[in-house]
Amino acid sequence: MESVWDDSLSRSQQAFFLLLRSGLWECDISDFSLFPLSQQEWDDVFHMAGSQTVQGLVYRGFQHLPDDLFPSQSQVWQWVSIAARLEKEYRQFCQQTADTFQMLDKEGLQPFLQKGLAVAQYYEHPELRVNGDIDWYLDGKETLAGVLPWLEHQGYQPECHSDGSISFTHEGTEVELHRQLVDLDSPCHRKAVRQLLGTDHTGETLLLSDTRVRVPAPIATLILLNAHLMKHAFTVGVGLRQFCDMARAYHRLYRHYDASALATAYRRTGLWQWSRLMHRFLISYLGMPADELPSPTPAYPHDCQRLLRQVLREGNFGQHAEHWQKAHSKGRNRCHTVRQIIGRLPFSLRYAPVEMMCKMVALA
Amino acid sequence: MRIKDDLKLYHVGSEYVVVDMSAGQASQTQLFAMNEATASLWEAFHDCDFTAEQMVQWLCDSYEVDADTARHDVLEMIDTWKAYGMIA
Repeated sequence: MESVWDDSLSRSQQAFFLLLRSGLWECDISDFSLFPLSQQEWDDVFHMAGSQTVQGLVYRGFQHLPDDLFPSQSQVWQWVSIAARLEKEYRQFCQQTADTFQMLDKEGLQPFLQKGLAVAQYYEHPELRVNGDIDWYLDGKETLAGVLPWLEHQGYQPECHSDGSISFTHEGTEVELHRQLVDLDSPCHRKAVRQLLGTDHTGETLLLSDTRVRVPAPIATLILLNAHLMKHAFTVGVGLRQFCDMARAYHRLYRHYDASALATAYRRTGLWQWSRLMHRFLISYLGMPADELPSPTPAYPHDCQRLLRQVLREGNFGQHAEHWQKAHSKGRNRCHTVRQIIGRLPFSLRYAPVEMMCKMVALA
Repeated sequence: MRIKDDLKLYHVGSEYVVVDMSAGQASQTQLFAMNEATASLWEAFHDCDFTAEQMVQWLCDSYEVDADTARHDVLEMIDTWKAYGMIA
């Protein structure tokens, strides 16, 4: 397993990554020299797992330690309660996903599940992945305008968003309806996605709570996960869960798609340079086997360390960044987001110039 | 007797912990710790109807323990499980 450790990582952070990698790949822990951890260091690991929404993976990871290197009994119990909560939420989430699929499909909206449970299935323990909201791509819909009154008629209170998507709450869970399969801002890249995927994104299904739910084909899945990751990394922030999703998707879909076709797709959709950076990150910090990646030329370690520092500072979708916690109101947060995007431009323009320019135009 | 559905046994390191999966948020006060022998009994009987005597017999067959000691332990354990609402 190739790895490039960042010397600036603390003992707790290094231990956290060892446990995370062990849980991600269900493999032995490669280095015991950091263990045993102190109570405080275990608390730090617990906190990091929470802010990066990878509690389930770290819970699985520390079970690869010998018993004498385990956390204290009270901390083990703390982890068990988290695991139990995640399993309960997973069952509810499966049911809610199946319910909303049936509702949308019955209306002829041709929903495809994006991310979420579709990605959870790539893990050894899908029930331990933290789930956020339910995202549906509605195939063939130029506009979702007609969907709005229908949702209102069903008793929901839908909200329209600037990107043309619609969200509503179903049994306490946020559901989003999208008209783009891949979230890119550049019209050229969108057109490339349409040309590349054509109708080739269809045909796969996933069984959830006795319901067969449509999911995108492997190559479409990798492009949409990658674009989602890039968008968040260069805007509001991204956590390790999204990188873990990408790593598991590459691993599980390896040899189920044409790697050269994916590399071409990354080039045509403006994801190529970013992918080199992201691949370096996956190899260095998450122990991703390099031969399972479609691009053999990862980017410079220096930028990878910069990305790592950003990820550790900001956590899941930037929600653990200081500004998010201080200013969690819509208007103020938007200002912070815009400032954040501008501040990152010297970095992001190197990896996704066209996308970032289009993002700035869209924000203006 | 039957162990309630929706109770799940977790084995983490040397710890055996039962969690009520039907409850809302799992707080640590809803966890129930077990030793290895009790956890083995749980595994053997968690999805079937059983009597105290069947448990006694199972313990005698699985461990080097006489019937009187096993019966005493089983009855005490069943009382505890009932007190915590773990038996339907």
